[in-house]
Amino acid sequence: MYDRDYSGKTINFEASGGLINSSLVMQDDETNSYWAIMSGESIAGKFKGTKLTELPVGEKMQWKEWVKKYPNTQVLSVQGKEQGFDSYRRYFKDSQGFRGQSAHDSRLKTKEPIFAFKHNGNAIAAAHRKLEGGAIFVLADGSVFLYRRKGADLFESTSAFLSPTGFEKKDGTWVEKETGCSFDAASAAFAGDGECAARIGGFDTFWYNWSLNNPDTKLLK
Amino acid sequence: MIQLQHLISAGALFLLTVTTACAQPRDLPREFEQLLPRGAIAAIRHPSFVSAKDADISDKEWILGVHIDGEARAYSLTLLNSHEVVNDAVGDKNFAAVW
Repeated sequence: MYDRDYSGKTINFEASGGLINSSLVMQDDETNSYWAIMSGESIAGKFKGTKLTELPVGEKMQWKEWVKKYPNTQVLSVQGKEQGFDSYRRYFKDSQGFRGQSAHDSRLKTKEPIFAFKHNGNAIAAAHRKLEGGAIFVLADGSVFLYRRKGADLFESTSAFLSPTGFEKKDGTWVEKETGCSFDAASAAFAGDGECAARIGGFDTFWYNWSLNNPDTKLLK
Repeated sequence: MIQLQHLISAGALFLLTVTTACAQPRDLPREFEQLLPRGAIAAIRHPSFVSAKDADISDKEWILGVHIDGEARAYSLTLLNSHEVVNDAVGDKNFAAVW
C-alpha cells in the first residue's frame, strides 16, 4: 500500500507490463516513471532513485474475518463483481519461482513464505514459520515484534511492530517494555495506556522474490 | 506476490516484447523485462464500491483490507490480480492498493 501524494501532486499508477526480478513494476500517469513494487523505488524516469511512502494500513484476511471486524465495510466492485477468478492457484502450489526462477541464495527454499521489510535502509526478512505465535528480533536501535497466528494461511498478513525499547513475554502475553502495552492476538494490535508500539509496513512474499531484489537481506533466525 | 504469469499465458509474448521494447527509456535497469504492453493490465482509477450486505463474495475469499479514519474497504485479491493496482482515496488520503 503506497501513498499517492508525492512531490506535491497526487499521482496515479498502472502496471507497466514489465517485471524486475519477477516483481511487478508500475508506471505513473503523470511522468511515466517506473516504480518497483517490492521496494517502492523509482527505477527509471523523472523520479528515478526516489521512493514512495509505504502506508502500513493494509491487512490480508478472509472475507468472513474482515466483515466480522468491520461490518460497515465497503467492498470493491468491478463491472458488478466483487471477486474474480483465482488464476494464481497453480503458481502458489508450484515449488519453482515464476518462469523457473530460483532464490538469490540457498538460505531458504525458493518458495519459502517470508515477511520482509526495510529498516534504516537495511533489508530484513524472517520465514513465516518462525513467526507463528510471535517472535522478537533485536535490531541495532530497537526491536521488532512479528506475529502470525498458529497455522496461518500463506495469504494472511504478518503483523509487525517496532519499539525502541523492545518487547518481552510476561505471563504468556507479549508486552512492550516501555509502555506496558500488551498484544491482543484477536485484533493483532498492541493496546494499553500511552502510545503503543507502532505498526510497520512490509511484504509477505516468497524468498526468491525478495532475495532477488534485495540480495543483501539479513535473515532473522 | 505479483508476477503477471496469468497474463503471460495468453501468448504472443515475443511479439509484445518486440513491439514495446522501442518505447522503453534508456535508464531502465537491465534486469527489467517488458512482458506486456503498458495498459494491457487495466489499473482501476475510479473504484466503485458496494456495501457488505450487497457484496457477492464468498466467506473464504482473501481480501486486502484497509481501515483509515474509521472507514473500511475490502479489495478481493482475485480482483486485484486482474488489475494489479487500485488508485483509491479515503478522505484526503490517496493511496495505491497493491499486494
